[in-house]
Amino acid sequence: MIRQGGGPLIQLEEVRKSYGKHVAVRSLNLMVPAGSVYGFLGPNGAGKSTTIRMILGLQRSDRGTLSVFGKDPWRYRNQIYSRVGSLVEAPVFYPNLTGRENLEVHSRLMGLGKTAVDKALDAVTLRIAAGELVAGYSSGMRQRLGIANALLANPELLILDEPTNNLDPAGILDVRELIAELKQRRVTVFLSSHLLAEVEQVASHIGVISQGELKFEGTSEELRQTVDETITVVVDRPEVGTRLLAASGFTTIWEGSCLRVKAGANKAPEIAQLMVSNGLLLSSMTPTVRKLEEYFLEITK
Amino acid sequence: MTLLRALTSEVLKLRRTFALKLAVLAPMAMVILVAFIVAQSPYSTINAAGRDNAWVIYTNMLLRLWSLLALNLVIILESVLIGGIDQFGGNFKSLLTRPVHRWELYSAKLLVTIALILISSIVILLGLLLSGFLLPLLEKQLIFRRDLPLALILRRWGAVFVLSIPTIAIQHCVTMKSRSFAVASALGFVGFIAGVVINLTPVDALPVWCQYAPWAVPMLPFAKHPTIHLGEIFGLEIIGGLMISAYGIWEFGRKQVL
Repeated sequence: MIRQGGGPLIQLEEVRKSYGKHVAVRSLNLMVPAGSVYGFLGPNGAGKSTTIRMILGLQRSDRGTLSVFGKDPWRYRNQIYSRVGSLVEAPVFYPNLTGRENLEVHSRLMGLGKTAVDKALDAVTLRIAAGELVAGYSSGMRQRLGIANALLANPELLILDEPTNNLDPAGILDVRELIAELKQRRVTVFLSSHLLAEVEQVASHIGVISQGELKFEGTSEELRQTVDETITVVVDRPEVGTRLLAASGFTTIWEGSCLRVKAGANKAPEIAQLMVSNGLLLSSMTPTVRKLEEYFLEITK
Repeated sequence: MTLLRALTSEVLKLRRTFALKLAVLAPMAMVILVAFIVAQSPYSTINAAGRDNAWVIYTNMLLRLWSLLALNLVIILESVLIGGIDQFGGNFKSLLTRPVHRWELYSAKLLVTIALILISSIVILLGLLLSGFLLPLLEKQLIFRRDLPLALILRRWGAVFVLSIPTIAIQHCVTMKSRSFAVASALGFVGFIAGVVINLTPVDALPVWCQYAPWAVPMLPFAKHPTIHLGEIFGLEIIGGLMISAYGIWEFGRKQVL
């Protein structure tokens, strides 16, 4: 559970979205604090892009509640769009137009001047190629132009879906620096990726989605703690267990019916006594030491 | 105000597109083709009905062929090109996240399509007048009166253009709704063929409602059917066009972008 940062800028509660019989997102709860860089991790097909589309009001959820800037993005789209920049999946452009003209299509829609286009082009170091037709752009250049497009209106919330796709190492580094700069300016960044290493380096908060469900949500620090020495505790009333452990100074992450307690194996008796003496039914306790990648693979299986 | 912004944005997208070239080239080709046919057989066409009404006959000939054969095809292509540039290209996922109402985006595209058809119609009109003046110079047997019946020409030309608007509205609605280029084009071609069949079939052999078929109505200013009341059809087609556009806007407003 996220306990740091400002108030939630994006909040999803029990959100579900299906396409016919295929359930893309099921009972998703998610909270993005204002000013955070939220890494939204998950393997391909986990439901990341569907979630982003719902956050952007491009698709309507079947059930559950979504709020962006405190408003339902499907019903109050235009009120949030002036504050949001986005790049959803592979960017698509008009091949008959130059890079600059492509951005102008959007800047005209938003009533922005040419300065906004220049600033966005500078942010992704694409000013030199801005006069060339997009049809001749490499996939990396298109990706940069997509990010420039997202930055156009100087957004308070930036939603980037796999922004480093097709980028070379220098491009990836540029994106990383850009996100760090935005973080300093208190721009909230929602960064979706299937690459753990990419997200881990820039995100202050992380959510892991798999098969349409959130498997982990917490700060980067909490994720690191999770993957160090932990004891997995299974009790009948995990919410009571979380409270008891927190009162005794343990950091606990609640994952479904399990409690993952940041503690070495030597703390197991103490934890067991705490649970039992407070009337909880203790089913199991398993000490584990895992690497971050192993943890990611395990929860996204 | 935001509709104006959406319009300027749509106009920018037309740069270096086939849609813009088509709007000029298709009617030019039609004028050249008809003028060529007339120049090749001056007695069998223009002057056969008498020398006094060559302008009227030439106007009817050109506008009939335009409305029967080319106009509907141009409408199909322009609608699919203008609407499809975002619909089939995948651009809606970024365009629809901009602070502009969806009805404004829909309307801007519709207005640009209508504007392109208007450009085509203006090219036809200018081509008609220019070729009417040039033909007697190329072919001495052709005699066009010096006093040009401009009011009649403008009336018929204007009627063809206005009566094509419902077809534009239908075609635009289908393009913006369907996710397939083929569906939008197929509907247009079916309508186009229906329009040709309706106009080539003797009026007595058709039910009355056929005269209101959107793809057939641009030909009506040249029909001689006693049951046709052009004013009534004008009203019905305009109301129909508005209703279709209202439905299209409603559908587009609840469209989910995949």
